[in-house]
Amino acid sequence: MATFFELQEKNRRKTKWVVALFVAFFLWLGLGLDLALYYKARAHDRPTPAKVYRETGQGAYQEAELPPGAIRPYEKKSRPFRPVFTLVIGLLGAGLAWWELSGAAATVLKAVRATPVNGDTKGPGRVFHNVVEEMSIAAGMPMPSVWIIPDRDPNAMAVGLKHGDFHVAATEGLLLSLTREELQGVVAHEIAHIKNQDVRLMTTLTVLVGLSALIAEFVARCRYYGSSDQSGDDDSRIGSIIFVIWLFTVLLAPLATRIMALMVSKEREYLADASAAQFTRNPQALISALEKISGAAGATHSISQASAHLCIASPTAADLSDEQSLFSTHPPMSQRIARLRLIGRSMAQAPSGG
Amino acid sequence: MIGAIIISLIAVIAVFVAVSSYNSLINLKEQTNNSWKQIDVQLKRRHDLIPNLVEAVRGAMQFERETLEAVIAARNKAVSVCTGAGPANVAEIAAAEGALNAALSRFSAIVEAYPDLKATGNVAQFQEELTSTENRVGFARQAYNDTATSYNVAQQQFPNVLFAGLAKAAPATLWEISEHADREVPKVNLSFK
Repeated sequence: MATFFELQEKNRRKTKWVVALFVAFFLWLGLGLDLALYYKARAHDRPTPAKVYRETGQGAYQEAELPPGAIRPYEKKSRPFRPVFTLVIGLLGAGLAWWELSGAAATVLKAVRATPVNGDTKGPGRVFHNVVEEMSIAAGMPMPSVWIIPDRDPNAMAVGLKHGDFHVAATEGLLLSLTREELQGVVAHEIAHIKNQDVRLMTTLTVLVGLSALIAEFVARCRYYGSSDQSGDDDSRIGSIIFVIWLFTVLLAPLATRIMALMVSKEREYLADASAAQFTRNPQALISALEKISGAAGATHSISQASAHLCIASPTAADLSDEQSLFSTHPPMSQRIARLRLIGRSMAQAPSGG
Repeated sequence: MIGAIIISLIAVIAVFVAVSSYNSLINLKEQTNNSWKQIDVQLKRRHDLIPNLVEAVRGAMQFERETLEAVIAARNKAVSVCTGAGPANVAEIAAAEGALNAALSRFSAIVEAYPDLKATGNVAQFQEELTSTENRVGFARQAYNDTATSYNVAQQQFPNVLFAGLAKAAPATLWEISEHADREVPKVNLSFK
């Protein structure tokens, strides 16, 4: 088949890796601290005098006193490893993610003051509703609910995390400025975000980024570390090394996780564009829609930066410029258009039936 | 001992591969059937909608009885072909739907020419409904073709090809556009705003 299926597969694989990296990182946040504390505590354990036993016949033993002058052997207590922080950070992360995920759709739609559109609406709303239904048929998806955002700037977004709770919203500006085919492209992009489970993924990543910032903040405020513990004990040294590495990663975490989440976000935008081309079989329409959207250089004021990764184009005006920035949620428009052109060419070469 | 371990390991892997291959084939078969039903749903929707559309403009188009009747006749033919048809009847259904498409496109072109209809603003709405209906059928067909293609490809791939018989997997017929006339999809106003 055509290239976009391969492109989708490649993107999905990449995303899996990044998510795995995130999970491993959070495990390390808890486990590293636990290990460091474990070795530190073990270094402080006083070796206790070992007990000495005497055979009393028939395989029985009895505790015995050492003869005077003998050197008593010492042994170290075995200390159970308790992964307290691993559990705390893990549970905190899971709990926050769950909390965020359970109320996300309603919150976002309320925040943009969206109004629902049903099948009886007339005019542009009716066309929008029809297009959403067409694209969900093309994607083999259940029909999401449809919303219009009262904003003059052209933009669109997808929300919803679980089956039966999917929403697609477009601004009034978008409905007025695009042709029907261009609207199809944009809606297909949003439906693709839902189908590829980007909404769930990106919301989770946002939560994780916030969580790592929280942990870093907390650690930076605790000034009790760095105790100069110069007992040449091996355990103490291992503990110190693990602690330094841990501290380093924690303090870098907010930046690293944010960049990682934005990398995923960019990949998912390319994937949604490719899927939109698959659903509409018309990458040209999406290209001209993207050109129109980036041409309207204003910011979408009603959509906050927090929901940026759910939109067709970044709602921030600065992000619409063509500079490749590490901190924008969307790839530069020119790149997206270039990739769509490539898909268009490969589709022209291998026309599929239907 | 080591030989026995290796043999049982290979057996476990073989069973695992067989099960996952069988499951993926069954899964794809189900998806293909499902997207076939989706075409059915959309065709039915179109068949139900056409009488309403014709009724909506009949008053203003007294002199176009032939066109209107042609549309209704093509619609009735398509309905009778579709009832109880399965993927095996793809060619028949495609022919009937093709004829309906042709009748609809003539109908739609004539509607454009009626100033009465244009004045009431019904034309825009009519065109929109017709466009959306055509698109729904088209996209359902496209989704079916996509799923059926990946099902057909999966059947021929290794190791699925070994278990295709067990999963009763047979190549699914794609919905090809057979007649030349069909390719001329009703030219409805796509730049509708």
